[in-house]
Amino acid sequence: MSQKLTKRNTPEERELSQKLEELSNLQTLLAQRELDLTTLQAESHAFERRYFRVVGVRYAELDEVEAQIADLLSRSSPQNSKMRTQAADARDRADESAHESKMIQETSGHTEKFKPSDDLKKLYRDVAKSIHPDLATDDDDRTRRQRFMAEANQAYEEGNEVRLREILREWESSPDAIKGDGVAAELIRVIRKIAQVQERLRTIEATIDELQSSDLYQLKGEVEDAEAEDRDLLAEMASRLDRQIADAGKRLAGLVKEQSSHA
Amino acid sequence: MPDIPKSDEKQLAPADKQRSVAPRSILASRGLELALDVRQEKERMGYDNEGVRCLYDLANEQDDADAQYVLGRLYEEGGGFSGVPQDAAEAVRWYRRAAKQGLADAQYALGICYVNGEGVPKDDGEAAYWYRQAAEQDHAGAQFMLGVLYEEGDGVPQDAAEAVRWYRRAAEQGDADAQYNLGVSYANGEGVPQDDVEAARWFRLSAEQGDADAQFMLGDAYAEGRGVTQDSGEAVRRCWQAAQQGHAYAQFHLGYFYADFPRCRFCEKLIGEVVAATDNPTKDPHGKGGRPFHCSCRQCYHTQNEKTVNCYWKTYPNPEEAKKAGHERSCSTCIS
Repeated sequence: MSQKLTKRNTPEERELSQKLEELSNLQTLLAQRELDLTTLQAESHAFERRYFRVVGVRYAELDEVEAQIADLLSRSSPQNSKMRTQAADARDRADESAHESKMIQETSGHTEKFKPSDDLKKLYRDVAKSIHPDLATDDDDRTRRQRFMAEANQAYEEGNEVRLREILREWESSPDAIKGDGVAAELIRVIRKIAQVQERLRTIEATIDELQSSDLYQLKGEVEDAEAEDRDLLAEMASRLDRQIADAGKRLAGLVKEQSSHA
Repeated sequence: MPDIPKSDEKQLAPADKQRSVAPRSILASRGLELALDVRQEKERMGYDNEGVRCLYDLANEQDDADAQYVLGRLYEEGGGFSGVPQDAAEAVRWYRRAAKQGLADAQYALGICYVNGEGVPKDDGEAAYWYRQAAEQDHAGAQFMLGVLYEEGDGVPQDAAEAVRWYRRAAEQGDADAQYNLGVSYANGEGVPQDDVEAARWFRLSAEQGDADAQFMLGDAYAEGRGVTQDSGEAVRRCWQAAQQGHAYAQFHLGYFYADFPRCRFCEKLIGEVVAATDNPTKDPHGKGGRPFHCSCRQCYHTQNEKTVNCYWKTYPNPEEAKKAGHERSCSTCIS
């Protein structure tokens, strides 16, 4: 830690100086981790959209056909309770897949690949460093910061550099809530901020861990590895599912025909 | 000291309030399982053969560009001894890995895949990029193909002069296609000042490598005396070479070339067929001082020996003169 050359008189002042420096370092770290997390989330959302468009919808289709097959089979032997259970399970699964697939498609955003530029990342770090809600001094300030930060997150995920720059400018021109209550009060505020920032950092780490261990994120990794080998893994998966859907469709058609001839 | 309020749950930053990625998405879990399976299936495919297995290890683990190129070729062609299934996308993948390492053959092959849209969506711009990489390494085929893209304006801005530049580089390396195209550029004055002599020079180089188009163009040049001294015999000879390779235009034009030539006085056939029958093309269609022509028509066809006169041209208006010229006997069906 570099030594300040300014002469300090009171222990409070010395402590305040140290704490301010600590806070400043933490702010830089926080801005970076906040950027990492938001980037990770944006990438995951983009991939999720792509995955559900290419593969998810096909699962929903396959599950629907298989639910219909199970239903027909259980009807043809009404005494068989095992088949009845199977049919009910298949129906649940089909509904769930349809729901999940529909839900993802209805969420906002269109990008299927999130590739922020270095400029955009730097801008986001600047925004996070000065606007972050955990640097708030009181509840009003926090609310205001949260509003700005939410907008900044959205602009970042949309890759909207112009908007992000505007947000930063608006923030810098807004009246700052600096209260000159003396060194002691200032010291308390800084200590409180440090605690808040540390707490937030812990939350970020946990969220990143959780995100990275999710199946979707691992799937994204597999797809990217394949991409490095010039393979479109999602397309390969889709064509495998298409074959399964075609097979199931034939099976269903056969069953329908069989039943109508019995009737 | 004022009481420091502890931060509580509801004060979380907005990042946490965003919809988080479905952490236990069932479709994502099933997708992950399928992805691993699909990847492995592809890895296993076609690598039962020991030789191919070695090639694969060399290509994949040691990143050997030559091995990657060969593997690409195996996938492009498929089947055969290797047991590798035909798979254009897989071929493109290996070509690309080798091409990225700077292997000119692979860059050229990748360019072709892009032009034809095989294993990858058709993209002339990408094709031009890879052809150029190989062309700058003096790959004649790629230089030729890049010239074609410039000539057509496919994937690059149309530029006849640039086309000629690349044709010339390939032509000078002996690429017959490029020699022909360069000849055409000179003949038409496209991208280069019109020059029949240069055109004929490049047509000849290409024709001598057996290029049918060039043979025909050279024949045409001889017929018209364009860039070369007019020579009907040479015109016939070149045109016949092209026609024998199935060059439809040459076959059609043979008749025109022969219009001024004598016909068999008995069967009315053109000299061209005489040339074919004897396979002894000559610059002297009238046979003066040369060997007599043989006619291939059914009435006249006769092949006992070289000296036999089967049919008469202007040089041998009657059997007596033929005998005087040293021919033992005449063809009985021809001479009344």
